[in-house]
Amino acid sequence: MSAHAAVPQKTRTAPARAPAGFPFSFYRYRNYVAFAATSVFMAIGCVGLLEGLHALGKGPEAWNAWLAEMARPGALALSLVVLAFTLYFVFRFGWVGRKIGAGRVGPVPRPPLPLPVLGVAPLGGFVTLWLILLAILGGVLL
Amino acid sequence: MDAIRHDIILVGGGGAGLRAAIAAVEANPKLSVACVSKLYPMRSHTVSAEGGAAGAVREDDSLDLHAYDTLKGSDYLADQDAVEYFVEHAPKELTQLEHWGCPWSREKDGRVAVRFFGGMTVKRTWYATDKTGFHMLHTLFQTSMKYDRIVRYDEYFATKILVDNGRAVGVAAFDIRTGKMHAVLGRAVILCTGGAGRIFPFTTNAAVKTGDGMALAYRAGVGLKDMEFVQYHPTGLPGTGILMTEASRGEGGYLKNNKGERFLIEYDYGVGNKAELGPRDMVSRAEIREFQAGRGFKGPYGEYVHLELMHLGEEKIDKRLPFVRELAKNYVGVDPVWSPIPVRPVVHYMMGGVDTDKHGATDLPGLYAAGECACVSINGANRLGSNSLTECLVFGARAGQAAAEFAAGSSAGAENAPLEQARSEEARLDRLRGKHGGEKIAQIRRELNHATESGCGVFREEDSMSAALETVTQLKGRFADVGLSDKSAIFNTEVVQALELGHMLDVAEAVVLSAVHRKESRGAHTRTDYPTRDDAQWWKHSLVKFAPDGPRLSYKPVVKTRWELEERKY
Amino acid sequence: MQLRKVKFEVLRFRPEQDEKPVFESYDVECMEDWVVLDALNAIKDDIDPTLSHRWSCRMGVCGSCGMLVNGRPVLTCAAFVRNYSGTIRVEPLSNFPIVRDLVVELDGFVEKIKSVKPWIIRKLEKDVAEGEYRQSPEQLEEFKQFSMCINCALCYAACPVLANEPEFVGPAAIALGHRYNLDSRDEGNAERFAVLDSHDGVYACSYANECSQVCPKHVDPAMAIQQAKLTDFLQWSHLLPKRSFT
Repeated sequence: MSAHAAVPQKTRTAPARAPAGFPFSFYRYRNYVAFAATSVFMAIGCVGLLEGLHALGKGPEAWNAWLAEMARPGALALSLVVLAFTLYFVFRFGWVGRKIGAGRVGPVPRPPLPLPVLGVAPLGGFVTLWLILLAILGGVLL
Repeated sequence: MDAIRHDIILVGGGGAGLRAAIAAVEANPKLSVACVSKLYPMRSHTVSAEGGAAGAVREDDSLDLHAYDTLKGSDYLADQDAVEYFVEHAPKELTQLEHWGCPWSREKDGRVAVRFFGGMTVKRTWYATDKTGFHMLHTLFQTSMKYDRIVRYDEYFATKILVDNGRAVGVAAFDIRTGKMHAVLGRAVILCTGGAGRIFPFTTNAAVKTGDGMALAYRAGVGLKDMEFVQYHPTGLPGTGILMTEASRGEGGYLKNNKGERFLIEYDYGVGNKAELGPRDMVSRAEIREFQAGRGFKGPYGEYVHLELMHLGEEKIDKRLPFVRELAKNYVGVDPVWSPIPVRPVVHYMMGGVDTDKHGATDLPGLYAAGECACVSINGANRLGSNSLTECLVFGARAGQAAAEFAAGSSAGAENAPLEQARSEEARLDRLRGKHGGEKIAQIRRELNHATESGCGVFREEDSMSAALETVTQLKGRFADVGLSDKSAIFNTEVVQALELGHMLDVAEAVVLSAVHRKESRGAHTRTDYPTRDDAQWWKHSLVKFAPDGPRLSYKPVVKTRWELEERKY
Repeated sequence: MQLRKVKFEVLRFRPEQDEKPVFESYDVECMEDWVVLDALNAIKDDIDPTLSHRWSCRMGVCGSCGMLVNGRPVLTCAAFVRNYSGTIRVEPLSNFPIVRDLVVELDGFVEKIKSVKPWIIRKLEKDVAEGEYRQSPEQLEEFKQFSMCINCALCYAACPVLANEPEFVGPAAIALGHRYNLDSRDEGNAERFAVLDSHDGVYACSYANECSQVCPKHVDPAMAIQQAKLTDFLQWSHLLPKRSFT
């Protein structure tokens, strides 16, 4: 163990500085911030979907009202933004998955499933759902 | 000043130090060890060792063969009892490190792989690609974290061994971070501070290798043994001195002169493919002779020869020597897969050091030493490559156990005398910060470097050594008038440099003094005016001891057990 | 060897006199083959001996001399002056409190390394007399790259997560924990995951990948972290056994 931890004899320090270019002026940090921001937009998307589900449960009237609501230009634009961020998330997550390989602990035999798929699957489902919804909305619009 | 109390005070946290710390806490579950190091232990210079660590394990090998090779390599100046102890414990220690997780390179069947090294007649060098020291040090450091009874004093600089009643009871050390001096007291002290390559200008050694432990022991009255034997490694990069491991020759690399000849065949250190596997002292001399004969390449940092690895192929280089490739590419812009690497002899290792027996004990009770800072001696006049990492483990462990036994059998003692000594160290430190004076640290260091290089090169002779001795003595006088501009307490690295320079001056004086008096050529100490080995007169260890009016040189017999002295011919 | 005069802007912080860090400029005559560390040593030796910085091996393996050069975390012993044009700015590593000048506070970093239990944990220790554990080259390859970390802390300086959450265990420590988890000789992964899957463990990482970008030894800590996440998830969902005796 370190004696510094046991008997702290600290001197005055200057506070830690953020990495140069953090958070916006260096492109890789920008990507990271955008990645973090996807959670906000995906949350908004989820709320929208839940509302739709709720409307569907209430009856055809509410469902149609929700569809009409969603078909307004503002809502449509928001949906596209949500889709864009979600796709970015999936893309980046897939990029991570590329590195993961199989989960492992030392020499224990690897499990049979292609594991990155396991991680990406729920997200794929989310994107598919969103695409279906957009298609429905598109149909309503046309 | 309050005392910090532990049982064993360890100075230095490199390979030998960490091994000693673990050995001490494992030997006795009651003991606590203070590891006082001027840098975080994983920064220690063990990290730079590349080629491997020797230990006889294979069917074609034996302990006696390892001992014989080591003795012959030492030009018969090694103590034979120490060498026997060393080869016997080498495989155990290397295996122990394997059990702690060291990523040794492996054979297909899962056994640890071994490779050839200079002066070793069979493959017996264990390796982790060409970053063996790095992996060993990190394995030891990480393993040491398991023991809460090893308490690290990271970035504490030890300035004096505290002595009470003729017994070493601790060190005065200051926290570089705060600048505060502490008395770190215990019942035994182990020095594992490494060598002193930095007294030379052109060295593979890291900045921290300033001979601190040697100087501390010297000032405490313990002798420095065989200091004239300074190993020149034949393959360092010109300019930086960065090491190209001997494993590059062990794996089959060639040394070539400007005629494109494998000149080592001429010197006949071996036969056929083993021509490059001569011991370091001989290969370095051969290189200098090539330069003298006009067969070296000329460069901005003096002459050099070529280390050729191209014929090994990219796959083998990447598998066995990736670090050599990385370093050559970074520092001289040469990719060894396609081009030869420029190399020249460079100061690498001090065979000499604090005089200890095979238990690491010095003649000051309670004071132990191990690793490069100690001279047991298994290295004699020339160390064989890959024996030093093993030496750190074997004698680090032994010193740790011996210190634990000593500590368990002795009382804590009174604190008055050591505290008083530490307070005077505190005053010395205070005086040093921002001290007025006409001399500059960097200037004295440069002149010291120049003197050691001109006096104690690969080839030596009376006049230049005497001149160097005179210069070093003068520099010691001038050092008293050194001026410092940094008055601050917090992380004052100038004061650290000043203390290190003081240590380097002490060690350099011992080196040059021992060298000028040894009137023969043995191992790494080669004199043009006395070109042969003279066993009748000089089969003995040099011993330099401190005295207020200047160092005292004496001699000590070499221990012989089973091996007769032979002519050293490969 | 050609000399070139280069202007260095070095961040200075002397806690006994400076309220906060300030830049100081030095003109240094640099040789063609110098690295930034050589220039810092030239400043220390001949221009301003009060400059404090850490260094040792000057061959890229001890990990002491990590600093920001023109904003990027690098080992200054491997950053050649000739590769920079104009003024060169040298600062201490980001994401660490500054002790003085270019020296940062590393104790927290070392404690994080320790927190992942970076040593072999086994139920039964084999006796040394029985020889080594057999480990095939393939088993070695499983973890080898994660054992190459030199603890230089460049990845900590680059990590945006650490900029927001200083308690994050961080890339080097997680990669090291992962290295032992992957070692065929080890049985301690359950103990390590107690730290790795804690609040400040692997899940704090959102994969900026900067750690792997700046690593001077080509370790891929980002990969280690993602692999550790998946391993943890699979063990939690019982798709992968825990390899431990506790």
